[in-house]
Amino acid sequence: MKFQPGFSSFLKPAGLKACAKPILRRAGFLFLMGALEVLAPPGSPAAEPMMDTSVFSESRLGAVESVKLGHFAQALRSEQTALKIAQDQYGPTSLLLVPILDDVAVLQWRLAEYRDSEESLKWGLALVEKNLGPGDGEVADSLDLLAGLYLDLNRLAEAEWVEKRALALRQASGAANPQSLARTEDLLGQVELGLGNASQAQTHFGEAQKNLEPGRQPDAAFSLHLLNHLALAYASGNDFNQAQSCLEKSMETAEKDFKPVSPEAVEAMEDLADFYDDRGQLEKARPLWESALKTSGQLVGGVYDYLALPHLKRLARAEDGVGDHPKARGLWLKILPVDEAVYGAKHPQVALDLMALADQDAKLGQKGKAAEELKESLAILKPLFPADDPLVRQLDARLADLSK
Amino acid sequence: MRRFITLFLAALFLTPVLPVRADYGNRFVANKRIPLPLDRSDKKISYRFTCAEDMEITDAAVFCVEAEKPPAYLLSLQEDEKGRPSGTPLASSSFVPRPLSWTTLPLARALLQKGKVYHLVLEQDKMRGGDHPVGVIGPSNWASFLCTDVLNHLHCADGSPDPNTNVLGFEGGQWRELNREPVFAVYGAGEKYLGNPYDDPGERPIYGGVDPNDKSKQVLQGEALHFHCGYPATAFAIRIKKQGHPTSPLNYLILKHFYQIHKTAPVYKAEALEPGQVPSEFQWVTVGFGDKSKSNFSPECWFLVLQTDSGRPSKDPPGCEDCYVLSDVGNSGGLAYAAQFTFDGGPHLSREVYSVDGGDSLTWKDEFERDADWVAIGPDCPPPVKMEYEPMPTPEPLRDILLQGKFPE
Repeated sequence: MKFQPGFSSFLKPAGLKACAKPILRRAGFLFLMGALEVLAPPGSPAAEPMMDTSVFSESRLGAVESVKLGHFAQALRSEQTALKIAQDQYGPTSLLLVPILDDVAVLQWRLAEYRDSEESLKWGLALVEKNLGPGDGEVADSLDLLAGLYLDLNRLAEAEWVEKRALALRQASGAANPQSLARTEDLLGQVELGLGNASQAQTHFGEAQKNLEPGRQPDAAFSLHLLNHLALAYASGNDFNQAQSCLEKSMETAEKDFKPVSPEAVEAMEDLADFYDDRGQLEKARPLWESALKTSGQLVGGVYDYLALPHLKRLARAEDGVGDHPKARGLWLKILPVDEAVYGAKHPQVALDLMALADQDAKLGQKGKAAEELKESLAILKPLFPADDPLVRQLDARLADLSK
Repeated sequence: MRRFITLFLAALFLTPVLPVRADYGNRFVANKRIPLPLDRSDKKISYRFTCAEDMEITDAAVFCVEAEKPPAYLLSLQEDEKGRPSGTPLASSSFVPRPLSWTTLPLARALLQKGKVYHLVLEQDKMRGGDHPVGVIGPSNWASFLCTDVLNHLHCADGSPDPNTNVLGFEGGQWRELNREPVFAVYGAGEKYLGNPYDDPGERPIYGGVDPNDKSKQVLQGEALHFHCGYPATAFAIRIKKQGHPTSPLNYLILKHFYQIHKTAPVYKAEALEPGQVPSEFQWVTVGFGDKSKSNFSPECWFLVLQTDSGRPSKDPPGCEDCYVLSDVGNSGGLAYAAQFTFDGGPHLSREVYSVDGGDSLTWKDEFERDADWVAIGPDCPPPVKMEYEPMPTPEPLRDILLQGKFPE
């Protein structure tokens, strides 16, 4: 070719090329990283990096650490930084963005940024479909996440459609990953339960149990979770004997597979106690609540922070169960500021805490205080959920009860 | 393992051989286009290659050089049997070629395995989907397809070896290796690219300008090399020649590139070669970096360019007189995602660069679909470190927390 001095090249905007390689992202994002140096003279614009791996890995690992301490907003910022770096490196359509997008979406979900979370999940889903094809088994992972979000938002029809597609994809890909199939069956069961289809929910939970890999160490926490869901499905279908049986089995399993003094054991005890309470069998519920109280008391330490929250909530539940409402109220008063600090004052988690606090105030005869707390809770939930959402409806009903 | 290059105390030395394979840069060479005519129905061409990564092929492209009322041709992908096409197409597509252009053809999806040898076979499509021959092929109805003269035995995108690359011709019932470089492109699902898009061998003139005192008209040529690890280069190799009788030395410059504003900053300049050290025909020449602290490259784009005060522009090839000429390879256009097939892939990584105004820091031009024959010599990149990031756990469902009324009576 003859060189033409006047030839003007077309300068393309910055951004880096896409070089997608399929990876098993749910098994962990495997990122190949060289030992890289980053050069950017002080005060000068950043030079084009092959990939700023130090910032990238610090961001991703930092996000994991932040989540452990409940610093979700910080974790989200870190993941968004990592996403930007990966996007610059691999281009906006690379499959390598998907695990980061999933993490971003989950953090947005946690922070009740539901619309952003849905967008992030849909972006990830589109990337998987584009890169691997809409029939690839990996698509089911993205669908599971999206269905989980819809379930949380009570968008059950959408959740059902999405999760049925996930199930079809998992079934088409054979028994390659029964654990994933079990989780999809469980999620679909929860959706059907929400839709009031108790028998279909039972079927899905049953299928999920069958798919727990027989030859491998069972996921004990997931087994408990499934038993609890099965109990709910049986109770929904008015089969209370089966429901009771599932909850009893859950308690036995929790004490066997976990330590007797463990969060799982307390949770299982409290679920069974709740069941007896709801059935009016207070004599059976009482010893369970007492036992749960004793055990959960041992699990709560002296520091009331994010890590202590689940223990404090179980303890408050147990105090309520044994009828010690002042103590339960005191615990919810400790829980509330921690949840506010972790999620922000306008988060549904805080609304739920306020509901629990209002419940205790009502039981203590403080109806005015309880009504204020419920109104505050409603003010948080109404911008986030539609008026016919069960959470909102439940709050309205409680407020109406209080005003009687 | 990359071979270690011993440097002499002198900062400058010559090695008129191809640089070692594993060093970083474009070593792909082409001097001229060679058209391979298919003017008889019993003639075929095969572009043989080794698949560099597992891929599900979706399309393939070939370059037609000449076409005179051409018949339809069939492009098929075939497995290799003892160096020859198996004769059984994995996928095929029919087309009527257009001269001096690439044609991209859809292929039924077929899985190609990394390390396995395949052939893209071109032949007249005699039947065109029917059961009897249609169309005419002969001296007045034919087309030719491109290969280039130097058989590099490389995957041009990353410089990895491909000892199986070759062009094969079928004539008189026999396949024969032609020892030419195949020019073709194969697309795979998931943004995978394989092939040689360099249909345009080139020469890049380096000269000082009509007025020796006006450095703003100088023409500089080079390559933006995007290193993939911290790279303490000890030397570089260029494929260079002189045109006429340059009087000034050939210098090299290292420029830092700030991609967000497309601006360069000079880092180092030194003499590369005296006029007498530059051959009159293209030859690989290795030059040691004078100050190793300046050639310790971070993993990003660095402009490595050549400059001289000698010479002036010319209307005739290679575009200058009494100057230096750097060889390059490029794509002439018309091939989708051509930059992805070139050395180091897409348009934001390594590519050829030039300046027509004395190396002004803001007006460097990129040639995204071209690469200069320029290789940096240094150690291997360290093996990649595997890092695993577990996915974030999803939040506990909000509605599980509402325990009251959980178990309906």
